[in-house]
Amino acid sequence: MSALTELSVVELARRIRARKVSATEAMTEAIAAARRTHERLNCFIRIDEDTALAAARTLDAEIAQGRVRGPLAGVPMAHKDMYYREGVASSCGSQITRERPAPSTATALKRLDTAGALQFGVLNMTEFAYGPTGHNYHFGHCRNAWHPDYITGGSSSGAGTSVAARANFAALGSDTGGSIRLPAHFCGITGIKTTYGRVSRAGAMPLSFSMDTVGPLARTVEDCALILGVIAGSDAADPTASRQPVPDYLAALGRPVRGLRIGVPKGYFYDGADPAIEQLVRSSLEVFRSLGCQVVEVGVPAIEPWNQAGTAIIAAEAAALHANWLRERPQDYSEQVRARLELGAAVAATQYINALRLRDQALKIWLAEVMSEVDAVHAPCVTFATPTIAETDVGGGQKMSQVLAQVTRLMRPVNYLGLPSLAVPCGFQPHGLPCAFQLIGRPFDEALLFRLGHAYQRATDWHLRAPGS
Amino acid sequence: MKETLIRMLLSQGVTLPEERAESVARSIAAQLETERAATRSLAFEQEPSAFFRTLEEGSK
Repeated sequence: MSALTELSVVELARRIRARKVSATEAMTEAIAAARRTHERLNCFIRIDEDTALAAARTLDAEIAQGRVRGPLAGVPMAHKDMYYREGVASSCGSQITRERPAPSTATALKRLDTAGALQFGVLNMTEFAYGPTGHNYHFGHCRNAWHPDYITGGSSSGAGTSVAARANFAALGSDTGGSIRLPAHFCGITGIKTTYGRVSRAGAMPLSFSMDTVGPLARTVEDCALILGVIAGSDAADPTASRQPVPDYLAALGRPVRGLRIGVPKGYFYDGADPAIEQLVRSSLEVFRSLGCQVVEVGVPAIEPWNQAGTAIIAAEAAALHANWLRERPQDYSEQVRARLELGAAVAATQYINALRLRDQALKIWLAEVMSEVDAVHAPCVTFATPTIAETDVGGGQKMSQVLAQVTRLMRPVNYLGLPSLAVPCGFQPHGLPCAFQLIGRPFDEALLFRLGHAYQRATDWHLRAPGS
Repeated sequence: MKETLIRMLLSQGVTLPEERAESVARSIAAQLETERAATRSLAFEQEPSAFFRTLEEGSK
């Protein structure tokens, strides 16, 4: 691990702008770290060394002439392999699309390009982003940077473990049912699941158009704030992208958190929790208290129906999107993804539509009963000890539904409600694997979550711990 | 229900193996039961699109 790859995105960008580090140096170090790490963790699908180094040299020449493209100028990044670049195949972690050239470039990538970020590769992920553990039967399972026998979480598995291992500064992930927050929790990094519509989905592989969201995984809240500020905002190419103005997320970080009300849910979120996980998550509340926040208990409505409704929506929409391939190329799916798509094909139209009809009422209840009392809800991401890859290798068999439901139980309701949620590392489990809490906010209030998360990270150092350090 | 599911998927061109039909049937039944209870209180006129307005206005 080099000193350069230890830097945050914000700090690296600052040094490149100040010409203390060149983009070429940063890229050379990033690629070397990526190659080393990939051998152990299987987190990259492709590393584009020649084009990335050429791009870094071009950028250095621009900086030498006094021209800085934007706030991410020269920062190397690799992304989950589901963000399209025109003419290049995005595997989406699958056998099916690995040789299918993308018709256009994803809006999020275009915005990162404009801001000066340099993409140097694409990352392993769960096949078609449909799975929360990080297993991939086509490209091999992704391994946790803290211990290679353990899961990374998914579906942004390569994003989680490459950033944790200091083989990548930050990555775009996607979160349909926990796919950013779960890898953030399991790998000990920071990730933001954005409000539905906050970031354009144009050019991102769809899984469930009603639930898909785009967001960054990085080591710090500050990095996530910087990147979200670059990629958020309306987009003519995505009719579901919101026209709400994008706040200055970095400026929001400096505002005080004293007096903000943090809600601790009385039910559901801690049901059946492993005592060690519960203790880690609850102990992070002490930090917020010490920062002057008011920590209050808050009752939560019946959430399980929302979890079930969200599951039905994702299953039905995924099955519809995959209908042709499922008919024509069923053998090209892994057993688990095929089994889940078959389940989606069995969801009746009335069930799907009623799950969508219920969504408005659910959000109104949550806003009225929970968010009227507090500024953010603080909760665990998962409530069980991180399992091994072998323990969760359930394929498409009988245990599949049970295992997957357990992993996504505290994630999916947040996707169903369309709310933003920030995952922040808060310590280590007895077996040495990391743990994170999530802060759930009001729609489009990512700025407040960043403010709280940044204050927490200024008071703690969990986010600075690196595997093997 | 197992046979109905197999036929329903077959009509979509998807072959659901018999050994998986049982667990698919169980999952769907559980989802339906929860959803029926939850949607009982929904207004007859409730439309899915209302969600997006609530989301947009929810930040205020």
